[in-house]
Amino acid sequence: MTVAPILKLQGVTKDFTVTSSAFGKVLSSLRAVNDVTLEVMPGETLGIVGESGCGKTTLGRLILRLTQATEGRIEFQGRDITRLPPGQMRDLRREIQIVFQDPYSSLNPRMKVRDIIAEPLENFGAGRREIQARVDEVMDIVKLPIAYADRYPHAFSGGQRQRIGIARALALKPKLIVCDEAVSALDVSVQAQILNLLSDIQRQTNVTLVFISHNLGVIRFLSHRVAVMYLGRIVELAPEAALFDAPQHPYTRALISAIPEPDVSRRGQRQVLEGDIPSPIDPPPGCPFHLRCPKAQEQCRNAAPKLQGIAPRHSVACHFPG
Amino acid sequence: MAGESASGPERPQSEFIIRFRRNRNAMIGSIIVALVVAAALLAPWIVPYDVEKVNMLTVWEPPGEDFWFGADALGRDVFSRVIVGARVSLLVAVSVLAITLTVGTILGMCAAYFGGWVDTVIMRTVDIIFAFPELIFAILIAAMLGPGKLTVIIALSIVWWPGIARLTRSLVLSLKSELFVEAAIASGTPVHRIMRRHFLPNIIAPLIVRASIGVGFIIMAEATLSFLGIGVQEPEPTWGGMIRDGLSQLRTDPHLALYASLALGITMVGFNLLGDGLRDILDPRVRDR
Amino acid sequence: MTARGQTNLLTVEGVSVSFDGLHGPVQVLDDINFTIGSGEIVGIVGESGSGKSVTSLAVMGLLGAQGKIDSGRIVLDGADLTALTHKEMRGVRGRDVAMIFQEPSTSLNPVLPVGFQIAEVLTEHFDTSAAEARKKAIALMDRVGIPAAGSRADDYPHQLSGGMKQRIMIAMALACRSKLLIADEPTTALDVTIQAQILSLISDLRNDYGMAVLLITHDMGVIAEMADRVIVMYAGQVVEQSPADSLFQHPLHPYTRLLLRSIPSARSKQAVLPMIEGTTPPPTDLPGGCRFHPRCPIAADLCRDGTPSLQTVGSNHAARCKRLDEDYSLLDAGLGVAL
Repeated sequence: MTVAPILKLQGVTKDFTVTSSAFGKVLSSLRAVNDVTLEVMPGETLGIVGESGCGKTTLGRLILRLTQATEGRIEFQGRDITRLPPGQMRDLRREIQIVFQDPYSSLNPRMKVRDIIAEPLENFGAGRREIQARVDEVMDIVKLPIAYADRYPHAFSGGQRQRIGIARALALKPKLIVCDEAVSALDVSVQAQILNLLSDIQRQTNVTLVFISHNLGVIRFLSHRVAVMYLGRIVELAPEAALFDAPQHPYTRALISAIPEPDVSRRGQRQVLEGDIPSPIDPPPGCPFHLRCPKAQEQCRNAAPKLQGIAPRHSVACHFPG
Repeated sequence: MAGESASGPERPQSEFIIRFRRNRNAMIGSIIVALVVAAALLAPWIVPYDVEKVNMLTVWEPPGEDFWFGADALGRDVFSRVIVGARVSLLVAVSVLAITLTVGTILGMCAAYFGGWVDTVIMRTVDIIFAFPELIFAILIAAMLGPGKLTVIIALSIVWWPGIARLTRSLVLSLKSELFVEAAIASGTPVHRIMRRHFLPNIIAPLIVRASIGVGFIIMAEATLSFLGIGVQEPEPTWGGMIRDGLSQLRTDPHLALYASLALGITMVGFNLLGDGLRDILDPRVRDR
Repeated sequence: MTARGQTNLLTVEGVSVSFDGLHGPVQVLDDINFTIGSGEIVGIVGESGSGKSVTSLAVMGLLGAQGKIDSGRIVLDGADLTALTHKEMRGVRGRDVAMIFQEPSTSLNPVLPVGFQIAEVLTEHFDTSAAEARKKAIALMDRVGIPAAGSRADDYPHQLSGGMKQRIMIAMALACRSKLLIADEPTTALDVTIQAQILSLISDLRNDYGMAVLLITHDMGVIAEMADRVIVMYAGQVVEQSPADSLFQHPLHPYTRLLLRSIPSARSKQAVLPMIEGTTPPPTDLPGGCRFHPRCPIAADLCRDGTPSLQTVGSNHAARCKRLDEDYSLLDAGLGVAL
């Protein structure tokens, strides 16, 4: 049996340019996302992990069409959405939703919770009764008491605000939800509540999640498959177990090793990578990671490795994987 | 049940009231403004004399029991004219505010939201008007249109909307990067609804501050135009006109210019105090969050 | 390695702090007690609203106009800091005690070269000539791992990455030869690979110079990696205090236990994360009795009634919980976690 992917990215690239306002001259440009190809299956959670400047947030915005790809092709449910005209965008908005990182800036402080959750429904012409019923329904899903519906966001804690954000994303019963650092601003005890909630929601509704985070623990908990990004490229893509237990790219390995775990017995055993993350404005030639890679060879300085399959469903962009 | 209590800080209204009460400027300003507004609204019932009726027997009558503030060159009661003058000043101010706030916020929001050529056209127009000193530009327009109440309103609106537009634009530009605006776009919210629901309620506080400080300027400008004789015309009483009429008689009968100036001064101080107070209360940079 | 914990460099004794709220003073710290020995790394861990940052600000005398130490003493090297004037306190800050924050950019002057800012510390606190100070500044930058320090000294803060700016802040602390470094979430804004670099730098400095560190963080992983002793704070109180080994191997307080379990691990896949219901109460709305009892799965009537005190178990492990003498296996079953 073959299932068609719900989302397909083919060589997607995004350049940002800084132009001088007077003459429109390009002052500098950076490639935020570089030749990304991947597929997401219906009902799965794809985790996208990487450090700052790796392009993970831009990738999320590209999928949502909040920004336009420079090159490449994005397909959603078999339909090319890369250059949809605004008229047809609205249909897409119904199917793909987003949950943001900052639970403070992502809710309009002047709107009641009920109106915040109802807004997407209103945009697609739902009737008053239908809206009311659906708002009650999603508030129940995210475990927010209905009695809170007429309050303003400032009355809520970070965790509750994130529940409101999730409820808003669920309102239209989307097929795909992009979560951009959705738990990063929360305290650990609240983070666990939201992670369990997202995991429950997915199990119950079978919604597809693209979960973007810098936190590997969070990524491992939620994801079925994981893409590791570095300087705009995917350097490793594998099912969660394979990626965390047998990482093939030296960067993935260093990243996993660098996480401080609450375990005193592992003290001082971390691999500390040298150097800073290069700026995407001025990326190194060859493999983007070679400047910090403990295994870098001559070949790595000259040619950027392609993302290649090394095992079923496991691919890595490295000349010397393993 | 999420298990989290929705406790959090007090409701914004009650917090606003507490801060307002503790702010001396805002309290004094609002009392003065309330008195001026009350005088203007209740003028027909509280004025002892007909403001337009000429009485040659009481010309330049000094202040006394019959005429609290004295009488003017045509024997009209100065107290009554000062009270009714408040009505004219406030009417002009309210009209100018209504026009400039509407035009300024709409154009400012459009400039910020759409950017590109829309922004360029609107903001260059704003720059051109800003290039002239406000009052001189207003005098120029009023002189071209000919005197009258409508003229004053039009002239002051033309010089005053660019400030509102520029303020709105900068406020909306910073709001545009807020995630809730992006969330609204991502869930297919149409532009007019984004402006009405996401921009307007979030920029209203600084606009109110700007407006309440601006009232002082508008009233002053109206008085100036009337003083110069290109504003509101006789026999309707205006503070500016009364000051002009009293000026020639300043040595012998100062009461006319004096009471009109006092009324103008106190009103301006009231609105400025209120505006300063509101800014302290509402501006997040002054307020600790 | 230097002999650690021999003498108390810093003693915080019964410190309570309150802030002016809209409706009168609000107590945010309640009877905080701890010590730091010279060369020791003490970690304060807690979630937002726990009071961990206020604790560090109190030590630095940086509570501001709204905050006030109601009772208690803070003794640094024999001197009571709470008795000092603002001017005297300024002399202590930056010389005896240095501080680094989550956002190094806010502590650096954006219009001065970073090398100059380090040199300025030297000329201000010591009798150093400008040329000598610059030379020393470059040496310090080199020491904290800034490559090509000689040329980077003329860079402005915005030209440096977050990690590099944090290194500059650490170099400034070294310049003063501070005995105590207060690090408030020093790596929270940094990427994980850069965080590892900064943590290992702080560790090295402690070992090489015997600098004591008060490390404030929300990250149990950072604490486990760095701290000799740990203070766990919740809602303005210390709820558990112990050597790091003991804390991570046998956490006593239900809050600590649950918090440790609720961190998603990259080393194993969990089906469900143990979690703590609810959120930390705001200081204006603290529950009576044990402050954790509304969120505690094993709370009993006695937890609602009286305030628990910090009880010492064994030689140096203390926890603020009334159910400590209960059978631990029962406790764990109640928490729904196996430890």
